[in-house]
Amino acid sequence: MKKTILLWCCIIISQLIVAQTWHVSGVVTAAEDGLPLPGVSVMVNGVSGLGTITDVDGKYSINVPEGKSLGFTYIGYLEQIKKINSNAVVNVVLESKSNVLNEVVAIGYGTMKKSDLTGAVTSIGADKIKQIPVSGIDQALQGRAAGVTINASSGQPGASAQVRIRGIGSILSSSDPIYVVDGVILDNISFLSPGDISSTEILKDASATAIFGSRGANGVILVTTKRGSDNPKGNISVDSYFGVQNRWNKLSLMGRDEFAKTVSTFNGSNEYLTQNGLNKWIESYMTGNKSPYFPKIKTDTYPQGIDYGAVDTDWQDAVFQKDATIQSHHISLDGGSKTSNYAISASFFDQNGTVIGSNYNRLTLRVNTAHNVRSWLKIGENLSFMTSTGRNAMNNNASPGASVLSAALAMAPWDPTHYPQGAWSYSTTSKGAYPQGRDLSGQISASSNFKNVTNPFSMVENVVPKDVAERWVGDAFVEITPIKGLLIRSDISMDLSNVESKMFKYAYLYSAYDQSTHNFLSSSMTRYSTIINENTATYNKKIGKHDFSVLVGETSQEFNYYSIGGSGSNITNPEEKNRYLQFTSNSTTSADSVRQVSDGVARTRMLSLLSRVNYQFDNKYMITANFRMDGSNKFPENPWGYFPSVALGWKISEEAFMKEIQNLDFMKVRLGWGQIGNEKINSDLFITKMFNTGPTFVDYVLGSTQSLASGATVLTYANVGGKWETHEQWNGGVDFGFFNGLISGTVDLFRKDTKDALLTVKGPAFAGQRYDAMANVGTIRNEGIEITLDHRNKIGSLNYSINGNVSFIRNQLTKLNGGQKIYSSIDNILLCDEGLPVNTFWGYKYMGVFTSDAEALAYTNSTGTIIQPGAVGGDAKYQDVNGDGKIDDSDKMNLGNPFPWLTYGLSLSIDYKGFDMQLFFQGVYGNQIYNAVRYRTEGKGEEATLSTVMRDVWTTTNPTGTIPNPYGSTNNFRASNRFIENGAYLRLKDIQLGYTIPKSITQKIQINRLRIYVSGNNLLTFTKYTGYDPEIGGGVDYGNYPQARTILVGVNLGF
Amino acid sequence: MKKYIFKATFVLSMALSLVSCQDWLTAPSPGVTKLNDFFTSGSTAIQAVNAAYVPLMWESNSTYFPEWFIGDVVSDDALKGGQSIGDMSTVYDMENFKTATNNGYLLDFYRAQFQGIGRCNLVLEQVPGMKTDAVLTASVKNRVIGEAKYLRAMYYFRMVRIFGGVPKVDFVISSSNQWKQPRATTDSIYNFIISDLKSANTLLWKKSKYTSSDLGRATKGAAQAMLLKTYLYTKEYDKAKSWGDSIINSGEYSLIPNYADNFTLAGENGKESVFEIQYMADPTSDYGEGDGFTRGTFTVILTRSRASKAGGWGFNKPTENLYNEYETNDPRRDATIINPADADIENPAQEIYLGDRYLNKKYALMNPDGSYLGLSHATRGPINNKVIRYADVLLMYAEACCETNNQVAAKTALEAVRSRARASAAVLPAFPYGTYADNQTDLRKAIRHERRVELAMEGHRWFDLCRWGIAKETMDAYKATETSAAQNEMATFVKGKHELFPIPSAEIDLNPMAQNPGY
Repeated sequence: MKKTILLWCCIIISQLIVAQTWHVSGVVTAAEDGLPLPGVSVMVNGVSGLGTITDVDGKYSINVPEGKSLGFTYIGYLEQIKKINSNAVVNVVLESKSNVLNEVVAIGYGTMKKSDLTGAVTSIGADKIKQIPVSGIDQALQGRAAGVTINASSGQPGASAQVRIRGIGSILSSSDPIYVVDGVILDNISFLSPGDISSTEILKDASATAIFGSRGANGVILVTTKRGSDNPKGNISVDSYFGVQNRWNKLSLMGRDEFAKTVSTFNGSNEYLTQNGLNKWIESYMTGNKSPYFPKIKTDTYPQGIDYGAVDTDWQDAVFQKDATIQSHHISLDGGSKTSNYAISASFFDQNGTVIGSNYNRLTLRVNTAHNVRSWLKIGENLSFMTSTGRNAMNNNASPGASVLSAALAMAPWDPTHYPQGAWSYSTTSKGAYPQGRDLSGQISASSNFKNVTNPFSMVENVVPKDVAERWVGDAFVEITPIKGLLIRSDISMDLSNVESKMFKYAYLYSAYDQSTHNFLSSSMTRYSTIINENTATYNKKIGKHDFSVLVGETSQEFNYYSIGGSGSNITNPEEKNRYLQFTSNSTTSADSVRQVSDGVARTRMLSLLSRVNYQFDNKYMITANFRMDGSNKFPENPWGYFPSVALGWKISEEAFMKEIQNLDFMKVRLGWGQIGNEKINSDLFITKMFNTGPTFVDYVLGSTQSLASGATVLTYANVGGKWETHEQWNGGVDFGFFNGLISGTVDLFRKDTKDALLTVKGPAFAGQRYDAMANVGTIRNEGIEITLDHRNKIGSLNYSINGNVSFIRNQLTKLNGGQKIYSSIDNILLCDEGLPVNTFWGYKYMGVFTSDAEALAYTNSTGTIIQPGAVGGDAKYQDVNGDGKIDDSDKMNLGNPFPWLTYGLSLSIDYKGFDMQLFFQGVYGNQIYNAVRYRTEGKGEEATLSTVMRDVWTTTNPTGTIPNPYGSTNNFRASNRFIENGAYLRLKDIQLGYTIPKSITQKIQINRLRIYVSGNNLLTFTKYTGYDPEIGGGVDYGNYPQARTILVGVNLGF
Repeated sequence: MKKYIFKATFVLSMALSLVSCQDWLTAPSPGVTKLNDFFTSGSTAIQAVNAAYVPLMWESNSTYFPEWFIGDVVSDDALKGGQSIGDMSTVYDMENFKTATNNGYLLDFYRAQFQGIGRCNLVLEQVPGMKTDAVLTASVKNRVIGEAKYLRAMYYFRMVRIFGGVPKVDFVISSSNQWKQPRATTDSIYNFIISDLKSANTLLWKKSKYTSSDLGRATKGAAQAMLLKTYLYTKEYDKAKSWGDSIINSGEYSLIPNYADNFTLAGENGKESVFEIQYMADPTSDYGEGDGFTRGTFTVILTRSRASKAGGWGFNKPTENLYNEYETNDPRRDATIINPADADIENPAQEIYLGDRYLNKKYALMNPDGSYLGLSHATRGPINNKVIRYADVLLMYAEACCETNNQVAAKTALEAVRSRARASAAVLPAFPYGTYADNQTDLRKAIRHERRVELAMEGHRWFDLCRWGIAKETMDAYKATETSAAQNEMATFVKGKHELFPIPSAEIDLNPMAQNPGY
C-alpha cells in the first residue's frame, strides 16, 4: 500500500518537473454585453490546483503544461475549453448559461452535474432566497419549489416556518426536513443569514436523500454558503435594506354602540346577562339608565370620574403598530489565492413586529477558509456564530390571557387602553383592587365585563422576558487525495447553543383576573450540543464510456441537552439588577413563595455506515445506488436499520434517434425507489423506566401523621421490538429543455409510503399501563405530482424569465393497526384516523338556522324521530348523517383538512438596460382553516367584540337571520363546519424594482456593482378567508399573528 | 508522506473503532432509571410496594369512580343524587339497571384495579430475589411481599364482585406480545384471592408491630379479615368461621365506644380499624390527569350537600327505605343520615333528588356542632375510606357462625355490635327481639338487618345482597317503596344478569373475551 502511494506521488511529481509549458494570456468577456468578466476561473484541465482567475479587466495569464487544455468557468456561464499547443493570446467569449440543467448542484457528500442527477432535486438560487425580507431561509423558500409546502405559520418576527417536503410522513415523530449547511447536518438553520447563501438544493425523493439515511426521511435541504474564490484582490459585497411593515387586514368588528345595542337585542340575552353579571354598559342600552361604573363614571358629583361616553377604543388599532421597522445589513468579504481561499461575513437583522410587544434581532458572523496545503491535502473549516434576542406576542393561542391579539379581541370597545388623567377608583367593596379614591391616571385599564381577560398592554408592560440565544455552528475538515480520483475526507462538526431565558413579572393589580399577587421570576439556562464525525472516501474513475463514482463512509453523532432553571417570587426590590433567583424569597411554609429548581437532561446517539455508487455509461445511462445502515440508541432492541435505494436515469436526448427531433435540447427520464428510516421521536421511549419522582401517581399516605411515603413503579411498559419508521418512496420524473433554452422543466410523480409509523398503542387494562406505549403500527401514504416550468428569452436588450411550479399532494393515514387515533385542538376538531388524511377536520355538518320552533320540530328522520329535540327557532341545524334520528358522535364527518392539495408559485423577472423587476406570486388551494376567532366574535358578546356579520343573527324580529342565536342551545357551538373556511389564497409575495448603475460609471469609484431597489411584500392577497391571514400553522386560527405588508428600499454593493 | 499515512491510519482506525463499538449506542441514557437498574437497595422494595397501594385511592379519571357508587347507590340504600338525573349519567345507568357495555365508570374502575395489580406483580417479581440489608431485613422483606399479595387480592376482590371472572395476571406484562390473556372463571379468581391472602397472612405483620409511621399498611389481621370475607362469598362458612376466630382471638382489634367516632379524622386507624384506604389533606394539585393526581378523596365533595354552606355535589343520597330500616331511636341512624331542615334546602330543584332529601353523613366530615369541617382543598377531603372495620368482622363472623349453626357464637358477636351501638341508651335490645324468634332463620335475618344499618353508606350493601342471592327480591321490594319519580327511572331487574356489571366493551375489543350473561 505504502509503496503504491509513493509510486503514484513520484509519477505526479515527475510529470510536473519534466513537462514543457506554454505561456498563454488573454481577455475573457461576456457574450451578452461584451464587457470583460473579472473573476473567471481559468484552470489547467487535469492538473489539480493549477490555474488562475481573470482580473478586474477580465485579463489573465498562465503557464500551461504541454498537451493540456485550459478550462474557463464562471458562475452562470457555460464552460469553455481551449486546447493549448503554443504560446498564444487566447481571448474567450463566455456564453451565458441558458440551460439550468448544466448547473453543478450539491448532493449529499458531493456535487454532481444537474443533468446527471437521477433523483428528484430542486435547486434554488441565492437571488431567490435573498429576495424576500425574512429572518430565515425556510420562509424564503416558500413557493419556490414544487412538492415543498411551506407555511409561514406566524408573522411573529423570528418565527420559523413549517416545512413539509412531499406531505406529512409521520404523526408522532417529526415531519420536519433536515438542513445540511456545507455538510453540517442540522435541525434548524435560524443561525444563518439568507445573505450568506450561495445556493440551495432541496432533495425530495428517496434516492436523493438516501445518503442521509434516517435523517433524510422527511427530505433534505442542502445549503451551500458563499465560498472564497482565488481572487487575491478579494470581493467585498454589502447588502442592506430598510423597510416598514404594516398589517394588511383587519377583522370587521362592531363599534361600541352597535355592539352594545346588538347584544341587547339577542333573544335570551336579557335573562342570561341578568344571571351572569349584567354588563353595565349593555344595561344602559337596555334600561336607558346610565349605571355607576368602575372606575366611577363621571358625574356632577364625581367630576374626577371617567366619561365612558367618550371612550370608543378600536382594540385592533391599539395593538397593531404602524410602520414597524425591519432592517438587514450584510457584509461579506471573500477571496484567496491558488492555494487558499476565505469568505467572511457579518450580518445584522432587526425586526419589530406589527403587534405590540414583539421583536427579534440577530447578529451573525461567519467564516470559512480552505487551504490546499499540499497537492494531495486540503484542510478547511466553516464557523458561524449567531446571537439573537427578541420577545414574542405569543402566537395563535386559544386563551385570551396568552396572546396579545387574542386578548385585544376580548377587550370591550368601551374600555380605554389606559385610564385618562384624573381617573380615580370607585369601589364599595373590600376586594382590595382599588381602595376608593386611588389615583388611576394613566394606569392600564381593567377589562370591564369579560371574565378572565388580561389587558394586552398588561401582558406587554408587566412581563419582562429576556431570551438570549447564542449558537456556534461549524466544522473542520481534512481532505486527502492519495491517488487521482480518490478523495478521503474526515469532518468533525458541531452545533452548540446556549439559551438564557428569563421571565420577570411585576406584582400588580388591575382586576381580579388581571393581577399578580407577587412579583415572580423564572430563569433557566439550556445547552444543546450536537457533535458529528464523518469520514468518507470517494473514488471517481472514467474508463472509456464508463464513468463511475463510489462513496463509502461512516458517521457518528451525539446530541446532548441539559437545562437547569428555577423560579421564585417576592423579590424585595425588583429593580433589574436584582432580578436573579438569589433575591427571591425562599419560604418553607408558604406554598406560593417557595423557590423551585429543576433540571433536565437528554442524550441521543447515532452511528451510520453509508455507501453510494454512481455509474454512467456513454453519458446516456445512469444508475445511482445507495445503501445505508443506521444505528440509533432510541431503539435499544433494534438499533440498526438498513436502508437501500436505487435510481435510474436515461438521457434520451443523447440517443441517435432523438437527435433528429428538432428543438429538443435535452430530455432525461428518471425512476427511483428507496427506503429511508425515521427516528425523530423522543429518546428512551422503548426503555421501561421506573417512575419515582414527585407525589403524583406513586406516593402513598402512611402513618399516624398522614404524610407521603415515597413510591416507585413502572407507569408504562415499553413495547418490545421498537424499530425505525420506514419511508418507502417511488419516484418517476422527466427533465426536459426545448427551443435552445427557451423552455425547460421537470415533471415528477411520487408515492411515499410510511411503514411501521410510530404511534401510541393502547394495551388491555391488565398490561397495567398508565400511559400508552409506542409501537410501529401505522401506515401513511403521500402521493403527488410536481411540475416545474421555466421560460427564458431575450428580446433585444430585454431579458426575461418566467418560472412556475405547481404540486399536487394527497395524503392518507392508510392503516392504524391498533394504533390510537389522535384527536387534537379545540373540541377535538382535528383527527388522525384510518382512511383519512393526517389531521382531518372531524365534526358535524352545519346546515343553517331553524327559522322557527315549528321548523325544528319538523326536522325528523325517515321514521319520524325528531332529530334535534328541544331545539327552537334560532338554533343551529346539523345533519343526521347516519339517519338514526339523533345527533351524536356517529354523525361526525370529514370536513376537510388543513393541508393544501395544491401549492404553486410563479415568478417573473425582467431586466432591461440596468433596470430589473421581479414579481413573485405564491399560493395554496384545497385546504381548510378552522376560524376559531369566530367562535368568540360570533358568540354571546362576552368573550369578544362581535363581528359585523352578527347584524344578521336570528332573533324573533329577524327570523330570517342566518346566524344561530348565541343565547340559544349550547349545541349551536358544536365542532362543526360552521367555522371552517376555505383556506386557499394567492399572494403577491414580492414585487421588486431595481436599477444597476452602469459599470462604466461605478468602476470609476472602484465599485463593480451598485444596485438599488425598492420592494413590496404581501401587497396583494386574494383569499376568501375571513380571518387575519390565511397562513396558519396547524389549521386552527385562534387569532394567529398575521403576515405583515412590507415596503422597503435596499442596496446591493460589490467592490 | 509520513504525515499522510498517519492521518489515513488515524481516520481509518477511528472509523473502525466506532463501528465496532455498539456499546456506544446502547449505553444507559443520563437521567433515566431503567427498570432493570432500579432494585438495588432495600429501600427500593419499600418504594415499590408503597406505589402498589396508590391505585386503591384513585377515584377519578375521565369520570368519578369510587366503589360506593356501586356498593351504596346501586343497592336499596341510596339514590345517585347530584344536580340532576343527567349528572354522572354513567352511574344513573348502573343504578337503574340500564348499564351499557361502554359505561365510562366501569372502564375507569376496571383499568385502575389492573394498574394496581401490575404494581403488585412488579413487587412480587423483583423483591423475592433481593438481598436483605439494613432496611430490608428478612422480616421487612416478608412483610413487603405479604403487602403485595394482600393488595393484589384486594384489587381482584374489588373486580370479581363487580365483573365476575377477569383475566388472571400473576406476572409482569412486560411487552405487547403478552397482551392476550384468557378470562378466568369467577371461581378461579376467588381461589387466586384466597391463595394470595393465605400467603399474605403468613408473611404480614400484626397491626401492633407497626411503628406509627407505618400505620395504614396491610396487616395480618387485614389478611385474615379478607379471608373471612372471601369465604363468605364462596359460601365456605366453616373456613370463614375459623379465620374469624383467628382475628377475634388475636386481641388486636376492638370496637371503639362511640360508633360515630369512626367517621372523624381523630378516629382513623384506631382500634376498630382493620384496613383503611388512606387519604390526607392536600391543598395543591388543582389540575388532574385523573387517576392519582391527588392525595385527598373526592368522596367528601361528592357526597356533601349542594347547599352553599356545604358546597358539595350531593351524590349518594340515603333512601327513605334505609332511613326506615333503623329501629326506633337507633343512634346510628342520625350518625349515618342527615335529614336536612327545610330551611337548609336552598335550592330544592337541585338538592332533592327524585323526592329524596337525605344526605350521607359518614363521609361529610362534620364538626360536632353539625357544621362542615373546612377543606384545605375545595374538592379533596382527608378522610380515610373504612374498608374493613372490626364491627364488619364481627358481623361477618356472626354470619359464618349462623350458617354453620353455631348460634351462640353468632349471637355473641351480634350482641357485641348492638351493645356498642346502643351504648347506655335503652334501645336495641339483645337478640331475639321484635318480630325475630330465636331460630336460625330469624337470626340470619337479624344479622342481615344489623349489617345493613351498622355498615350503611360504607359501600357494602349491594355486594351483600348479591352474595346472599336476594338482590332481585330486595330490589323489587325496595322499588315499591320508592317515589314514583324514582320508580319511573328504574328498569326491571333481571335475575342472573344484573348481579354483575358488563366487562367494559373497550377491554373486550383489546382482549377478546366472553361478555357477562345478558349484556
